[in-house]
Amino acid sequence: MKFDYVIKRISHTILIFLAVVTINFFIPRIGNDDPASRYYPPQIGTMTDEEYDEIKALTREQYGFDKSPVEQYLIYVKNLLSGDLGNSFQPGRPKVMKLITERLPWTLVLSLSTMMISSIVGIMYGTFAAKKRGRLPDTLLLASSTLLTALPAFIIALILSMIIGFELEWLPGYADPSMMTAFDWSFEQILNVIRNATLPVISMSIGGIVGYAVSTRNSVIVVSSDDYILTARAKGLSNGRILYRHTLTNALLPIVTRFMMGLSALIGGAVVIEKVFNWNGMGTLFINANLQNDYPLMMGVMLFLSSIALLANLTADLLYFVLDPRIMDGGRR
Amino acid sequence: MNNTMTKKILNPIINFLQTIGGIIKKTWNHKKGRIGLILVVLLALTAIFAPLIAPYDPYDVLQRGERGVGPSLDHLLGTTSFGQDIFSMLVYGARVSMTIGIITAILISFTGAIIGIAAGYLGKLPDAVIMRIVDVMLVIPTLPITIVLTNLFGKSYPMLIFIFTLFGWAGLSRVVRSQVLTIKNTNYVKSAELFGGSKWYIMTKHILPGVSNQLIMNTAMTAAGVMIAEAGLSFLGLGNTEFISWGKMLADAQSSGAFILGYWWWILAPALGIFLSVSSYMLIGFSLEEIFNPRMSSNSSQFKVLKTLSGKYIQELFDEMETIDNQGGEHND
Amino acid sequence: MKNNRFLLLLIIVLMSIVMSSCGEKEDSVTRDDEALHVGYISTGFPAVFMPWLSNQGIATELSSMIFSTLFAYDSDNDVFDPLLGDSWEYLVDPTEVPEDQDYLAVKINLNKEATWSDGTPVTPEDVYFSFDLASDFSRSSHAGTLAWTGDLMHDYNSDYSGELIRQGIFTKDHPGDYTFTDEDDHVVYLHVKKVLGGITPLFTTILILPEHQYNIISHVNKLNSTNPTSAQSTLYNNPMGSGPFTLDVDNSGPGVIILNRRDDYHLKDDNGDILYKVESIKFINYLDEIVAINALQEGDIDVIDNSISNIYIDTLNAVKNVEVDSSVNDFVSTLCINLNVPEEYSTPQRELLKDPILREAIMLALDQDYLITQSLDGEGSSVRGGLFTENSIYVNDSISMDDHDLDKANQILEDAGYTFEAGSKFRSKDGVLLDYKITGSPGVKTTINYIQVLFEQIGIKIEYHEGGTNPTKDYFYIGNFDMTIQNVVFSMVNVDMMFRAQFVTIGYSSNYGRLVDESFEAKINEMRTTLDRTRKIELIFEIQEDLDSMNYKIPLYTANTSSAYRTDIFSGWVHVDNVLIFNSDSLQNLTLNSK
Repeated sequence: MKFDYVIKRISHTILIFLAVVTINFFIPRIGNDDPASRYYPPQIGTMTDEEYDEIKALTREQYGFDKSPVEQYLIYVKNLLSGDLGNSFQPGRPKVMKLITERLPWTLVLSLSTMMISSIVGIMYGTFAAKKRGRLPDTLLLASSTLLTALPAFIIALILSMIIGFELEWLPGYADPSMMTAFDWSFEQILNVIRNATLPVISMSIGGIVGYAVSTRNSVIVVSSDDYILTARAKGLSNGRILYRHTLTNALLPIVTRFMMGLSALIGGAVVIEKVFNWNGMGTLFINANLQNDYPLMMGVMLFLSSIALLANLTADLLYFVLDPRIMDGGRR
Repeated sequence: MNNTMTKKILNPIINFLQTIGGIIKKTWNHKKGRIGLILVVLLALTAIFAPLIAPYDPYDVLQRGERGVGPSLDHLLGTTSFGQDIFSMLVYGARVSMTIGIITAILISFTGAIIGIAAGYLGKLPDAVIMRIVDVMLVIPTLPITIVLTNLFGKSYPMLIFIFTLFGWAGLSRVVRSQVLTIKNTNYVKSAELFGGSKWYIMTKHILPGVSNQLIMNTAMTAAGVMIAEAGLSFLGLGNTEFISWGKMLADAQSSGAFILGYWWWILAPALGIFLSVSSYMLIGFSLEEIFNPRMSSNSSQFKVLKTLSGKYIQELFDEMETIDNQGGEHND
Repeated sequence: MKNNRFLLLLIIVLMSIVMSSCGEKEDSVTRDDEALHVGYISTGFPAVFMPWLSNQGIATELSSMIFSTLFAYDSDNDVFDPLLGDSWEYLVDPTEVPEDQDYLAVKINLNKEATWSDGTPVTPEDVYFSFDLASDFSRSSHAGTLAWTGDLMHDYNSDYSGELIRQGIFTKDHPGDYTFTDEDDHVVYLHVKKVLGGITPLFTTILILPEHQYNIISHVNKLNSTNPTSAQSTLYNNPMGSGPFTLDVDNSGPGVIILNRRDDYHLKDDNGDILYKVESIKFINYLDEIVAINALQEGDIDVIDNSISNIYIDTLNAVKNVEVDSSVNDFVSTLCINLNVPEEYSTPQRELLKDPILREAIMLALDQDYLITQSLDGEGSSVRGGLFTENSIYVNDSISMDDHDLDKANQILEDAGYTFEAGSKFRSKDGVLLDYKITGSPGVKTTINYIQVLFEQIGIKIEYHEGGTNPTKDYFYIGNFDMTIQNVVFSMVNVDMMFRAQFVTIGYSSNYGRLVDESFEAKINEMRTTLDRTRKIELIFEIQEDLDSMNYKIPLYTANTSSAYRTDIFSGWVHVDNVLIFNSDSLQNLTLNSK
């Protein structure tokens, strides 16, 4: 039954999620004799060894290391289910979830815009190039695809930032820091965000645009080839409409999967772009957590990113299922 | 006997080298491949003979020139804010990129091949277990996990190679596995099984050659991807900071004010380096893809291509359609 | 076709966005508010403002503006200036205290006008509460506490049961063996350890907290608990202090912090007017130095509250309305030599470091001028062997400055048996080649390279060794290194602690090279414990001479600090030695240039 598939995929996802959670739990606890060693505050110079031992004992108690690993793990999972990713090491111990949700929207602004622009512009240009097959727009596309895939997004970002941002000053070469604090949904603020986000989004989109364009171009060309249809007819698919649905699905599916994969890749990959533009999003949060050895925050962000990737996979699979030509055909076969 | 034993070891190696030689020849004849090969050789030579090619030793403090000068006769690509000659830095930087790229690519191909073949051929339990592990590894975002692991276990290039390999084999093994599944059912393999060949024998003598084309192509593309990843990580400061690498040059340029002070050459030089090295491998990879899988050559028209094919692409298209049907769960009747 | 039209529309939209930005570049800087805009370079602003916990980035600075300590130390005159405290005195002159009394009694008169920002007056009970909380580890557990009460006699049981075993603070509500009259409603008595330096950290490091807010802290809800209650979080996010500024909570966030001046601040200027002339300060966080510099150039900010790299000085000086202030520093960069390596990390080279002649040669080879010119671009000054900087009030200037003499160095090495073996560029003794590594962070790599050049001229081989992310823990605390670059700060306000930490304590202390010298240790102890001020200063001079001859931490230079600021919107910047141009004197003097 159809629902078998859905259930199978969902249970598969849950299994993988548990595996990821387990890995996430154990990573900061391995590598040293004492699993709690990364949770201890640093020993200040004026502290004696005895005093430091007492502090270590207190820390272990506060973080639950005096319980068995299994118990600790269960508590960890229980907290996860209620959305509690723990407390950051920063003074005042703010909640990791709070820090992530503060910064997440800013990264999403970049990622979602990039995805939309890459796919829309890419698909449009791809169709255009397919129609003008062999002529300038097409050859331009294919030539630039080889070139641009070798230019990682962050290099494009650096070049754009330098030329357009600092030399020509047409757009800001770095993100306006006050933009992220006093955001009040006013038209002015929104315009400001768009201005600041333009260069980062362009840098990230270029690769995507080329990718979408090339695959769309190829799919469209195949679909409109007479030879193809002839061969297909010969294979026994008599109804042209069904045939078109099949090929359309074939063309759509890679694009849909690419879209979903793109989301998770973008959120992880935006880390470097955020550094280039000083964009204070989740990527910067993660890098700073790393610099300060803030393990709860680091692992919290990791888990968050992995979950997004998992969800994206699941959505792609389910969409795959939904776009099954059988269903589109109304169940007739 | 010693003779036959040495023959047993030498023969596969000679075969292997002959295959490689054959492939290199084919690549050379291919337009893109020729450019790629030339570039790779040039870069490799630059990396190996760096001390001879570079006019200055960028590690030696006394050889610093005037700060922040643009390209000139003395300094072909200008100097940094600290007076280091950028051309020399570019040359030395090739060492890091090429070494890491090639070593990691080979390791990943090795590991991915072995695991993919094992999963595909042995089937059932090993397959299920391996594929679950692959699923988990593909979900975890690579860049963040690299950052976490370098934090926990130290920043060094060997560690980076290890981490890349650890997370790189997963994707490759999936591709290899699906190829193995096809090869598994051919008469060639089935007859070998009938003749009583051990699993190991079949995997090495029959299956491995079948996937070797895919593997070699993948090695090239992986090398390109690894170089991009290494550049990104060095840019974030996660490589070994003692060595000059192109990513680190970019990071230094940005943080030492290249944008504000207008030292565009400091950014362009390493960007060019990364671009050239990555595209060299990608060109080889693309040409290999066209050699082994000539389905979408960009120059000939669609018509001609479809005719010259052995019908392979269309076959794949129909195969995919059938898989969708199967996944939908319902049968034809 | 539809596709083309859509593309065209997209292009038009993008162009208009770009165009909308072009019109904004004008020559004069306009602001939409009257605040002083301060740029701060860091990885992020603190999320909470608990003054005793937040020590990252700008947090300490903000805490000292929102909260107050009892007094501030004036290093130019070696006196304590009033803040929350008005005046203080020893009840009995320290030199006349009986032998068997193990404490000194101090009386502090609090300023009667001091108030918290909610209007309630600051009382001795707030002081008592703050000191009490800082000494009670069951409520404030060591870790992260920036309130050092080591010299206060107010002692709690060390088993974290919260039992007070000795009272060292006395107020009207906690009189102990003092009697308080009605006029003593602003008096606090302290019992401190019997040393002259005992009062310094108590006066200058403990930010006083409001008791009526912080009384939610308990044995269960510790100050720095790993899982604070929501009441605690609210408290930490809305700091209420007795300092000259308050936090504008509503308009502050991760990238911007706004402080507003308190008009009811109890200290006034000489005319009785409001002391701080600046009305509000807007701190803006920049993740990168280059971005902050650009913002300063564009006029988005008036000053950068960090020391800026030398490479920007020329560019900034060339910009209209921007100035760079150069200030001497109080910390000294030294080459710290491991002269007493523990057995498990011993190498033949490290054993040779115990030889004072080798160390003397090293000292003679180090040319401070050369290092200043090469690695600091001239932005620095020389330091004497006593490790006190030139403008320090008790620097012993009889010690010669920067005597380098290559010939003498080579001579004494040769005479002591460090010779060049066949063809080698470097010296060896008894078959041991003089081959050393200087462990440090990448930031000092350039300096080490120049040191390498200097040492080559006397035949010693030096290499840079990367210290990793935690070099103190990995190498220095355990004595597993040859040499390193260590920064030290010595001043009257910290010598009591610093000399011990740097030259006596072994293990988790700054005495990386594990110096063990009984007579030197005795001298340091006498300096700390003597109650005779004159004798104390005498000993400080002597200790500097000993340091000079020891060649354990050999001075390299003290780097200048440069800070950049604009002059067109605010004027009245005040230069103060040892600090940036953004300092409290400036804040007390800056006014808006009305247009």
